[in-house]
Amino acid sequence: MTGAFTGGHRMQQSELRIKLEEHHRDAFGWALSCCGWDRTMTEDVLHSSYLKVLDGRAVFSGRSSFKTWLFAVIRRTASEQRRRQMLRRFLPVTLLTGQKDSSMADAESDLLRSESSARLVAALKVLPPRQRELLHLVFYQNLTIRAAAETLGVSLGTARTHYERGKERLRDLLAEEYTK
Amino acid sequence: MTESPEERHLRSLFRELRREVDASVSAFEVRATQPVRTGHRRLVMVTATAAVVMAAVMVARVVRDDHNPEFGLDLAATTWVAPTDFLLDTPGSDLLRSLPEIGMPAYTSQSVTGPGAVDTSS
Repeated sequence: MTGAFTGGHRMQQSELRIKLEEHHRDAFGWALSCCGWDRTMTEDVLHSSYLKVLDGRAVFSGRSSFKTWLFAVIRRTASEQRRRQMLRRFLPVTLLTGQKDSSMADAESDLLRSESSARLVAALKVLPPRQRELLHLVFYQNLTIRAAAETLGVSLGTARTHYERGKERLRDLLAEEYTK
Repeated sequence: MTESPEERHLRSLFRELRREVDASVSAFEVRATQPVRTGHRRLVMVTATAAVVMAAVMVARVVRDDHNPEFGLDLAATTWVAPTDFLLDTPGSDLLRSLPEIGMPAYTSQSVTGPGAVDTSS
């Protein structure tokens, strides 16, 4: 069966499945962030990413940690999904296929119960994608800036810049929210 | 690395967010991969290939027609006449293009086109 290379041996599908299950919570949080906190899209993206891993379309080479690699797969899948949604918005595909776009309605209210979390998510949405992703990886996923840089495929210096700017902007946005 | 108070504050906000998200994470489940529709994929591939071949043939024909004189105009063998050329044909201009015979009235058009007339236009 298809799998991935790690430490010189090819991971079997059962091993991959165990690994995916192990990182499922982290992956869900990351997919949420990549999908703008749209739960329906998050579940689609997560499922597609898992299938890519299991059927060998995405191959783990062992150059980074499994989590870092999985996050990169999820990020790429989310961006593909966003592009498809954009296309659907401009083309009347829904009329032909009868499918509906995933809706943001009630997606957040399912997840966020406290006001502070809702405020944090609202502020995160305003941030540029790179800053948002970096802050999420560092504060939500507890990754180091180096690991976050690896996940996003940017240099450590670039990641540090995004981290500092993002933190500053988030502080301002949250302060604005509190004064409202 | 020690964290600043600001970073600690952010970390606590994110921790709370994570707690809420974790409480509603959907269970890990990977549905079986949908069978690859090889028949459908083959049909798409065949259609796409046919479209590419047809487009290539059309382009080749257009390019060949451009270079083949059989299908186009031989510009060297044709003359172009402007639709407004008749405006240059002033009354009596035929008198200027012919030599009248001695003894014949020069103002009749027959004298100009008669058998003895010499056409100087060419």
